[in-house]
Amino acid sequence: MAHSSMLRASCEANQIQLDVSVVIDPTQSCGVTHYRELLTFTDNLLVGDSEALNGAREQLRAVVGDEGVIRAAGAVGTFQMMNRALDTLGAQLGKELNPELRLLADKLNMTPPAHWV
Amino acid sequence: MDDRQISTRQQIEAMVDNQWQRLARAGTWFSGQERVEIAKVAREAQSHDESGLYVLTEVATEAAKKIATEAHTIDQQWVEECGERGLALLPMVELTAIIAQLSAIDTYYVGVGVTPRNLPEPQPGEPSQEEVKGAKLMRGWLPTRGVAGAPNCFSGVAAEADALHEIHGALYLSMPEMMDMNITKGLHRSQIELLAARTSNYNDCFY
Repeated sequence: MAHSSMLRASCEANQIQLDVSVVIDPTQSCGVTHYRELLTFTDNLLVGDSEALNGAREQLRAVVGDEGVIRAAGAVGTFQMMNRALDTLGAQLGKELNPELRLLADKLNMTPPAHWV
Repeated sequence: MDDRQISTRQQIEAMVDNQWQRLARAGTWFSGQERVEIAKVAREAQSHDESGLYVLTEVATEAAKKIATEAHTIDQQWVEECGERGLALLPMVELTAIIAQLSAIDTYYVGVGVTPRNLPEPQPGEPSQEEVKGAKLMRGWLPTRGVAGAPNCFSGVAAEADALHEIHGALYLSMPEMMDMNITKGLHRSQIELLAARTSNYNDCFY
């Protein structure tokens, strides 16, 4: 959620077209460069299908190079860490969910945890 | 591969060297043997290949498995029940940190097509039991310095907070870099955030 907000903010700051629903439905399109290769790589890395991941990695490498693949793997890894940290911490981002985040949650079909409501 | 690519890989390897040495040593609330064991339980749970031969307490073993594989189902009641069964809040911070940090590093290696490192040999030593001044429950289930949130999620255990920032900076963005919505670090910020958002969605993480 917070990083869907960051995605939106980075796209707005760079005049990149974005329908945030691409986050939950990778068949949607968006203006982020090479979004298709990035999403395919992410999904195969998280699912753990090594054969599919090998193919996705090479497709991604073809468009963003070695450095881009390193950074992509690092970003996915970082959020594997942050998701586990924040889910266990049970942090509330403010006393109540702000209206903007609530709208974003609706768009992403996400239900706020009980302790946020 | 150009110099910058070598440099990025080398920087990440140096960070992992550091984290592996730290994982093997006694921490704040767990011995080196227990820390490596927590990592082993988490890895085995994620790969669905559990040996079941663990020296950890039952509650710590169960917690490690849950945080590794279904963190999105954790609630306050579960954290409190772990406490009642002997896994106090500050050790819970360290246990969570070990698993979360391992998950970041292992995912990175698999992503770039490299087999994750073997876990290190535990080193002797006693946990420091060093408490962080000012750490308390502040809008979260675990103690933090200041209101609970992403940047200070492990701040109840100083060494784990430092480790999180080192990993975060090496694999993703440092805290100052987070302010730059136009940064390019191998990928443009919008590309990096698309990866982040998709990962959080996959993990069913609301944050």
